[in-house]
Amino acid sequence: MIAYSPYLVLLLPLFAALVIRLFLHPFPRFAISVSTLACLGSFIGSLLLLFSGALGSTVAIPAIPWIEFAGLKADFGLLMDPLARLMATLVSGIALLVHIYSIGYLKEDPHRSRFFAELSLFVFSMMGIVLADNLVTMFLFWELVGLSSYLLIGFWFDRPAAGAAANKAFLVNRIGDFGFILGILGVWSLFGTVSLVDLPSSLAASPGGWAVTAVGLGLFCGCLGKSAQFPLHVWLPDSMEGPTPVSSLLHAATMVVAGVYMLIRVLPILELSTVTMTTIAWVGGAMTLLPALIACQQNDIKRILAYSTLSEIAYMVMAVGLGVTGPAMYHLTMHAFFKCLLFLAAGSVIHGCHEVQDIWKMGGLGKRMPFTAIVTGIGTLALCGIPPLSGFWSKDEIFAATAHHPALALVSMVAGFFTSFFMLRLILVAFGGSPRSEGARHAHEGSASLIFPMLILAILSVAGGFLPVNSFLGVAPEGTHVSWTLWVSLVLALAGFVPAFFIYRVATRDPLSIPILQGKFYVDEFYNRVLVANQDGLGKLADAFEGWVVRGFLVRGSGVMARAAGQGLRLVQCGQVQVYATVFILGALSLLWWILKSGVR
Amino acid sequence: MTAWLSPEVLLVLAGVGLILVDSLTPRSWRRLISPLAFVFALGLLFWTPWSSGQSVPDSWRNLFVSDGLSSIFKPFFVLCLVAVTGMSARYRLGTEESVRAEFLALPFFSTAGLCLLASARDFLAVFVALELVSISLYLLVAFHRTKQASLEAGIKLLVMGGLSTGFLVMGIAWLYAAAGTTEFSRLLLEQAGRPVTPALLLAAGLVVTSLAFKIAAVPFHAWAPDVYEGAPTPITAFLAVASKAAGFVLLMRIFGWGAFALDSVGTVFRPILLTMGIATVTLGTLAALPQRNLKRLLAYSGIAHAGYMLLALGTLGEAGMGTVVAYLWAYLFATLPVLIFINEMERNHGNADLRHLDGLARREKGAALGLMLCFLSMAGLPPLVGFSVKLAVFTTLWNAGEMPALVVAGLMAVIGLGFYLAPIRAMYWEREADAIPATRLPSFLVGVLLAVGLLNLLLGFYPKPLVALAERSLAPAPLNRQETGR
Amino acid sequence: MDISYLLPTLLLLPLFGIVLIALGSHPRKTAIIVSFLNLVPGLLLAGLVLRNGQVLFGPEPIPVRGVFPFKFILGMDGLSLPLVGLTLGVTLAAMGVSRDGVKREREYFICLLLVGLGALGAFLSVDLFYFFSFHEVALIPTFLLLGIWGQGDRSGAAWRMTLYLMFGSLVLLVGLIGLVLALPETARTLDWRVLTEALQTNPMAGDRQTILAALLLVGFGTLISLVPFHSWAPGGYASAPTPAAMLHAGILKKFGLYGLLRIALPMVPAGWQQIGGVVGLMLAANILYCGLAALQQRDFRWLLGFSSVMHMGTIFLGLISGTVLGLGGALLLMVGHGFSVALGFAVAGEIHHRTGTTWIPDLGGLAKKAPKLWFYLMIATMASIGLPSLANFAGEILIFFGAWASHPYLVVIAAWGVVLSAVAMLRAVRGIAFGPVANAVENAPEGDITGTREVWPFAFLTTILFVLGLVPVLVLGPARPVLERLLSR
Repeated sequence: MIAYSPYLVLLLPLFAALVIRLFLHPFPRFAISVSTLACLGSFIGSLLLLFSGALGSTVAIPAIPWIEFAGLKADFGLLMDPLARLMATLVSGIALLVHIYSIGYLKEDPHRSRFFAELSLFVFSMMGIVLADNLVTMFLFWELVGLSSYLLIGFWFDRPAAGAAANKAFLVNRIGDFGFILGILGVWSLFGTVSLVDLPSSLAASPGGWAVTAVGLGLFCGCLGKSAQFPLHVWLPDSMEGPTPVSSLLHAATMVVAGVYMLIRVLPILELSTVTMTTIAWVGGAMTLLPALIACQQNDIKRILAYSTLSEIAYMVMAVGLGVTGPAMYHLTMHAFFKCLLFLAAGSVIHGCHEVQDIWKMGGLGKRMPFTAIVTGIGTLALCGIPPLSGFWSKDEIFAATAHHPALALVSMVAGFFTSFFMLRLILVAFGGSPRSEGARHAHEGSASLIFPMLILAILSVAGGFLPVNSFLGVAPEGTHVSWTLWVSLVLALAGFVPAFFIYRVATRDPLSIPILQGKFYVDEFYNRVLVANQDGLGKLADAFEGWVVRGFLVRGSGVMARAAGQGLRLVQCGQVQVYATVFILGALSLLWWILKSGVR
Repeated sequence: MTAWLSPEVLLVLAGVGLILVDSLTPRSWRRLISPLAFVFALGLLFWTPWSSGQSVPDSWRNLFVSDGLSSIFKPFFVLCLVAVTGMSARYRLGTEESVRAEFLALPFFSTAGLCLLASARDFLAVFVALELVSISLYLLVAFHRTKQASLEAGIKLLVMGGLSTGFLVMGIAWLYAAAGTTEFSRLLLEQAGRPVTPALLLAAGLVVTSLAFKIAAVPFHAWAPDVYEGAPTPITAFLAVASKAAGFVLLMRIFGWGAFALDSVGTVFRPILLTMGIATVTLGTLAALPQRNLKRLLAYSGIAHAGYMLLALGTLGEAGMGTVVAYLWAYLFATLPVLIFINEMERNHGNADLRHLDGLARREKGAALGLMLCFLSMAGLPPLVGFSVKLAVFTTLWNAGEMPALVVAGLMAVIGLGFYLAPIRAMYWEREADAIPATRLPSFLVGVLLAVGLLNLLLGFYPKPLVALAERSLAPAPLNRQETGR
Repeated sequence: MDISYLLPTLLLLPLFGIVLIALGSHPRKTAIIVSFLNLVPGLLLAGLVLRNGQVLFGPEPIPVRGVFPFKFILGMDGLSLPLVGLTLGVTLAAMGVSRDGVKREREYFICLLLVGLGALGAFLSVDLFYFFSFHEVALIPTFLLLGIWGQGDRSGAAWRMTLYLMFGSLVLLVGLIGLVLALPETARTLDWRVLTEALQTNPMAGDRQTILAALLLVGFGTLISLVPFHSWAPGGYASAPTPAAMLHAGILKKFGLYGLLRIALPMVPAGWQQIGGVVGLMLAANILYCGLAALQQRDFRWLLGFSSVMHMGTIFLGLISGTVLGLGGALLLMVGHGFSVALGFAVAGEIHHRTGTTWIPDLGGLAKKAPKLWFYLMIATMASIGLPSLANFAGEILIFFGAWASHPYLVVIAAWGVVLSAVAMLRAVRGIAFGPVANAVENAPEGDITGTREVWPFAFLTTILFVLGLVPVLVLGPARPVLERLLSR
């Protein structure tokens, strides 16, 4: 039995979700504590696993059977390699902090029991993805994460925008999963297994060729959806309709990086095809820059951060595409720290000035919310990769990896430039100057439960770089050698602050106006006009056909014809006995004629 | 000795007895006449199965035979008689009330004729029996002398019946000319092996024509709807069930193991019978669709059923014969209750319009249920007996490789739903119009309807009895060699 | 010990209930109690099947000559077990969501019980005649339920449904006759075990197999609402009273699939292979055409109808996959879909009962007004769009895996179908549950479903969906040997 204990890490949050759903809905206090304690439990558990792993203990964990049928074997097992242990710790840790934060953030919300139930559900599913030992169960939790994201985005369901955003998120993810599941099928048919443990060994029998490429790209589709990379990135900015803790946990720190995590898991397959790898690298490269550009013209504080999230994840994707998983994972961890921090800070800003999200309606918050201002600053520096903060170390490793791909290096470093630009813009506009709205005028710091998580994260963002992540991962640190990339990237990042400073130091409204960036390159419009419209058009066609042709004409028509025939026959039945007799005689004659004709040969 | 107690004799006696009783007893006893008739009929029903197995007296040997077929259909006819007398008892004769005794007695004679027909083994006997049946039927159909419809129906039946009788006589004459005998078994033995002569075929054709008239097969069906509608309902029942069955019995006998059971004849007639069957099924089904009068609807459905049976019979195989036997019984159980109900309908409303069924299920749950089962059985839906027999027809056709017939039959079976479900719909989800309240029934009739309806269900699930009947009827008539050897 | 005599008990209990109701006991309570009690023999028999692989009741079959070779044999094996379970479960739930005070209550509940009874009989019958007849026993009351207690264009729907299904049954009948007659005169039997045996040992000629397979496909296909024989389904469900819709969509539709699994696949394998291409086209049409049509539905019931028609396509994909994996998936999805669609119609029924409409534009804000109902709406939705840990997902994934080798393109289509159904269903959920509270919802006299009395059927179905999704072996385990035998040629 003790052998199953690691499952607690996975099952505690689920248990919490169930208990709240079934019993604790009317009692928010209990609901909150149960959910938080469960999260704490699973955090401690993963910590233990992490260190036991670091100490090199390898306990075989029995799997819980799910499907073992006719050659397909997909059980609930725990994959306990360093990567998983680190990721689990990260997820549960951040989740714990967000739990604490949410306690204060949703103090007045009547539905907070449901919120925490859904939060626990998310933690459960996310841990599931992290620990899944085969692709099928990973896909299972993958979908569950999608569900909990859907529920959490749509948490305030009386806001129409929330419902729309939730749907959009789920459906776009579905499209990604469409590719993902096909990829999994491909893996199964090519290598005869879906188990992540056996996979590397069975790759020897790879046929190579287009099949492998297709499979790799299919799997990458999953990442595109979950990690919101082009062309499936459109859902992430909208998902900011959800409560801010959700944005920071799901849509910044953990869920959206699941795609990267999955890529790292299946890297051996991806590496079989250079096409796949190049595609991934370039999608990543491009996505570092585009969102950074868009972010420069956004005014919603959360959306700005969302776009920077897109760009940061793109760094990780690019790293994977370049085949360096260490840096990718390293950056994933660091990003979790500072991006979560930034969101929580944004949350505290929004909370402080009573649901104001437009940075142009803020201003002067530096004086009223000093702590928030400071942590935002820390987060920004970390994000922009200014040494010695956490972001610097991880980004540097990634840049180092691009050393041999100048084009990629250039793109991603320019992205760094714009990142610095829009982050400073955010800070200057929101915290500098003087208040531009009632909310901003009465802004105030939140309660301790808001402060504490930000404090922790701030410390991690500063010192995170010195965490021995690589040793946890069991890979040699790669960032030690100093290459040209270090200097160029650093210079560009710092350079980004300069224009921002001069443009936005005293601005009260945005002096720049670049429609294409405000319009986010019009990707949404394109989708709505072209894809959705066509699908609906086809739908209308099918529906009309169904209604008029099938139901109306074919079905009713046949009945009508039969009746008409009956009416026709009735005309013969005139009631005249002479007619009957004639018919009789004629019939008899024809009958006899037939008889003789056929009888006499 | 017991042969003199055979159903035919007793039937005639009973009929005569009724008339005597009527004329000898004081007027005040008149109202006892219907119950008396019913009792006679019922008694006969219980007697017939015992008696009909008896052997025939020697002097009648070469006219009549007592075999499986006859012993199964004599009870059939008597059962119809029971229903008819029962219905007549509830039937208002109006101006003819004074001669009710005749109205009751004539069916007895007619039934006697049918029973004779069932065991006839010689065309002379056939002719005599048929005349006995028809003449009393002419009278019965036109019994309502004052009612236009009834009179008209009588005339139609008379004219057409006369025609068909003419054909029968002509056929018998040709037959005698061709083969020198009118006795089934001898015909068979003498014609066996010889090349078939046109004369014989012609004779057979003429006979078949007149029988086709009896079973109302296309193109000899035209009389049925009008006559059914016009005739007093008890008589309609008699026509629809008993005399139709008689026609089939005779067809089975002559084509199964009687006069024309020769391959040479069969090869000629098989396609004809099948074609007739197809035409009959199609016309019956399609023409029934627009009917709003229940009697006419039943007439056409009867035509359709005749078509199905004709298809089975047309394969001229043992299975086909067995199927027809089973089908006829199923037809009886499905049709008679409906006619009984129509009888009540006319008693209440004067006509059998479909809309008198509206909302019946609200008032007469039991009756409605019974009727629904009957209609579903006619429609041939499982698990009702009607389905079992239709299944048998389809099986037979498939076995015989008659694909076109099978397809048509199947198609018509589906279209048929169109009109069989109409009454159910009326009963169950039209609401009752205040102007014409739904028919009310005495409770014992409700019981009867329900019982028979459930019987349809029971036989559907457990069709063994029908199978037994079919198999018994297949026991061929014994051919008396030394006698035919003469 | 031998408890095979419990098999007829499964049929007798509902019959007993019908009699009781006819005699005047409280209709709804009786129906519920009977359906509940029926679980007991069901579970016992399930245990027996899990142990012995099969249960049998009735005389050993002997080939009968003559016109009606019927034998009343009941049997249950790993293939029929899940469907029997489905029937028992959905029937109970359907009775649970039914309401007192329907017009002409007795007939109503008798009809409902009859539907369940017929379905059970069909799944249990070993004799083709009873197999077929019991299905019709279930169909006739459906017709009445639609025509009498339905809403909207009820009589139109009823007629369309009846004519379609009768047409289907008839074609099917011809096909079955053809199968039986394929045996030599002496060896003819209606017992499908013997029939399968015989036809697998010495299969019939190829072209004949093709004809019969086609007949069976059209016959069963109509019952399953396979495009182009589908158009009775959505309208029929839309206007059927809730329990009837649950029973028909949940249980009765599976009869056709069961028939294909049980009869078409093993008996005319070559023919089935032959028409595989056509079936592929048809099921692609099911998925894409009905999926697209579903996108346009503004009435929640119609939407459910179309999406259920669409799922039939996926199940069909499993059936033509020709692998144990695919067949197992199909079986699992049959059961899962049965429960999920039942839950869906149950929720739709509650919504209609409360707000008086299922017209999505008139609804909104349900989540705020009736959180419990919303919860089950979510479960139903998620189940039907194949969310993991619910039964349908396990089924779909198995089907995809099973069919991938033989029909990759169809798998792609089916996978896209999952997206389509997600789009359709989530739009509906958004319209019904999210956004500001609509008048229809605001003015609803009763708000949420409350109290055990109203909630248990939903909880019951939900539980089963989860159990099957997490422990699919319950279905797959016993079915596996049977399926392997089906495919052994």
